Amino acid sequence: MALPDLSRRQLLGAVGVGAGGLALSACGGGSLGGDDDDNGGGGGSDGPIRVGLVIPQAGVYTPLGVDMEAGWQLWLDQHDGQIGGRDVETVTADEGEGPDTGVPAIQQLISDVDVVVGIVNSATALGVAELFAEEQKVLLIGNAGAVALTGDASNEYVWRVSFNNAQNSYAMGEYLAGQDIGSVFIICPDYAAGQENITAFTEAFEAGGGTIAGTALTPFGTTQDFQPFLSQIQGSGAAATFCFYSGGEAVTFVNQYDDFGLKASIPLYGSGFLTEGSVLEGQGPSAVGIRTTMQYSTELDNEANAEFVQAYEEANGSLPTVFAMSMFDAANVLDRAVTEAGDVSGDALVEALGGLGAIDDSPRGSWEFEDQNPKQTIYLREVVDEGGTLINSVVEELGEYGTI
Amino acid sequence: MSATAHPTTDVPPSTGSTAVPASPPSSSRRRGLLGALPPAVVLVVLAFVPFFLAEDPTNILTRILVFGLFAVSLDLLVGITGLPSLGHAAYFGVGAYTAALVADHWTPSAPTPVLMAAAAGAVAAVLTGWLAVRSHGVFFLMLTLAIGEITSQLALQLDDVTGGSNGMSVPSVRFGSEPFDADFRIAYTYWYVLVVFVIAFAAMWLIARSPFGLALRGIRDNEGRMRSLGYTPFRYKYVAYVLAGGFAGLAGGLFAQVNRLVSPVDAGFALSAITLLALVLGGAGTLWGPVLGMAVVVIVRDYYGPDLNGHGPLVLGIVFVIAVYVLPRGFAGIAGLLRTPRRRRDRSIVPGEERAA
Repeated sequence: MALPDLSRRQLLGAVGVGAGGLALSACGGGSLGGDDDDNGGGGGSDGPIRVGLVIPQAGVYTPLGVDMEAGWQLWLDQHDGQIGGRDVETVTADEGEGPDTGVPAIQQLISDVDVVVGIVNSATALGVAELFAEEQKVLLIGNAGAVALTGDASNEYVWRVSFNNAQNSYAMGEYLAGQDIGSVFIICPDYAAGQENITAFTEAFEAGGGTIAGTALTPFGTTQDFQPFLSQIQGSGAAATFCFYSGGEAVTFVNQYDDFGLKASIPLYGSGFLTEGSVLEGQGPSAVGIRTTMQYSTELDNEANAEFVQAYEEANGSLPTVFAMSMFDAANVLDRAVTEAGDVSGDALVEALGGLGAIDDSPRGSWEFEDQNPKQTIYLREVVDEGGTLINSVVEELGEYGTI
Repeated sequence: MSATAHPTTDVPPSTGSTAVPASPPSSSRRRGLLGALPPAVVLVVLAFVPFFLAEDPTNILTRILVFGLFAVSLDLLVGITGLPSLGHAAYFGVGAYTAALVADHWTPSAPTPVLMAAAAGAVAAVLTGWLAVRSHGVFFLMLTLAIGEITSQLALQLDDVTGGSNGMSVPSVRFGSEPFDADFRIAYTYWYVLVVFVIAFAAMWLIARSPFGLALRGIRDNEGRMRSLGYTPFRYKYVAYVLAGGFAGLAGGLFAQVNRLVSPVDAGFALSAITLLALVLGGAGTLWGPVLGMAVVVIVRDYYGPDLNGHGPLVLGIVFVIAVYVLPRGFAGIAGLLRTPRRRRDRSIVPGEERAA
């Protein structure tokens, strides 16, 4: 590949210009400035608030990111784009699929904003938690469920508006134990969230007098064929199955569970993510009758939820998901905290968040912070076919669950 | 080390992929002095970076140096020795987890965690390289791929030690017991990484130019001939593999202290793949080229990527395709054009290239 002289020179010129431009755009004051660098948006008590919205825009979690952004945007649209009476500039950052892209994205974002909301991946959230303490800025987690985030690895600047991995499974464990359903087989993907679900379910179920028929851990994200595990369930003599799957794995598992003929003989129970959002379409009739536990359903009968579902459908043409609801609530919580604090500095917000009390206009029903994590009602839901659309109808309230 | 003073091995950086000296001895000394100028200038500029670059770009530059060091260690294997590994991230991951464990349970004080990381990377390479290096071609690719996948699976499974998919948090870099002052943390971390990078790069540079390094190039170009000359290629390749593993472990240790989170993806195929991409972008076999290649990868992925509405991976792919077409020998190829515009020598590591010239 011989390049002619002219194009060679042009090429070098282009490379030089590109590098120079990058260098120029990167220059700005030096990183040894100390105090001068804290130019994180508004900072003071007037002017716009800069909020970093961290969501997955590439990779397998992209659908969650779309829902989360829609929920956040809906709240802003309903409130003239203002939080705490001040304009909001949302700076969206792509966290990608895992912490290898998520952590650097947030490291870069944090100096540029007053507060950060979002984050799907638990490892990413755990990886940046300490950074928020150092920068003294508030992180409102909109999804990531690792128990440690508001437990062992917590600090006063990291708050969560979504759930922790133990809540849904613990509630299901208590419920099934109370039903005297017999022994239960547990199947979960083999990664941190799966294990946290198993631990919580087992603890609650056994405390209520239930017995575990067996436990299977499936390779996370790579299991295409669940048949070996399904025969294990069949041979275990279990009266019911409890599982925790989401996304593509939820579709595959539910369909194969039905195809294998287990659905009628060994009813399937799960954490709500099993039948949440777009996976329901992929599961189709196989999902009907599955019971799950979750802090939210579009079918909840309260005024805030009716308004939320209607507005969301008008804006996006689809039913909201728990992910959208979480970010809708994140905006609501932030609005209350900024109004209360009159300031967006980390310490002022932390104090305000601690004194918020009940969030009584949430679509999920009233909830409050307990140890920086929601103490909220968990609902038992069942998938029903309503005129061709699959929905998670609410069977009953299982009570309030906080930090377990 | 003695090879550095030897005139016949005084090869300028851009032609570093050749085993034969390009220039007559008379001009080589002047060349050597001139050749030392650009690295010296680059080094001085790099040393003063925190005074004129803002925090974010400094942080990105720190990441470039960390991943760049890893890319150089892979270049030692791919470009110099001719062993295209698909699982080099395994040793990066071993180093990262080792540094995390050392910092967590023993001392986060520099440089203990990174030194232990380098040792762990080398030990892991001793254990796995013995098998891998015996294979050739596709078998070597498959074996190294397996080594990488097994390592990241182990990181996922041994969650009592590694934290599983949630990863391990790592205390920040410090000297002694006190962490850096928050205002200067990014600058001090940068300087620390720069010092380790320069020392490690110089070491790899000297290895590549030593008689041992020349033998590696010889094995890369014609293993059979080297064997007939009385060399034992296995021994040379094995040592190169272990050295590359050790430097990869060192880079992993730096990564753990800079990123402060280590997770199974850091030992996974994705990292091995983008590092090979950096080698192609920068020019394999030159050692410095891959650092520039990695700079492009890190800037696209970590600096601009988060603001591209999810199109980061796509942009990286496009950059790669363009680079392969426009710069078949990477950035090192551009430097080659600059230096010898008329008598271009085709010593590319791409086999077809030689015949085309």
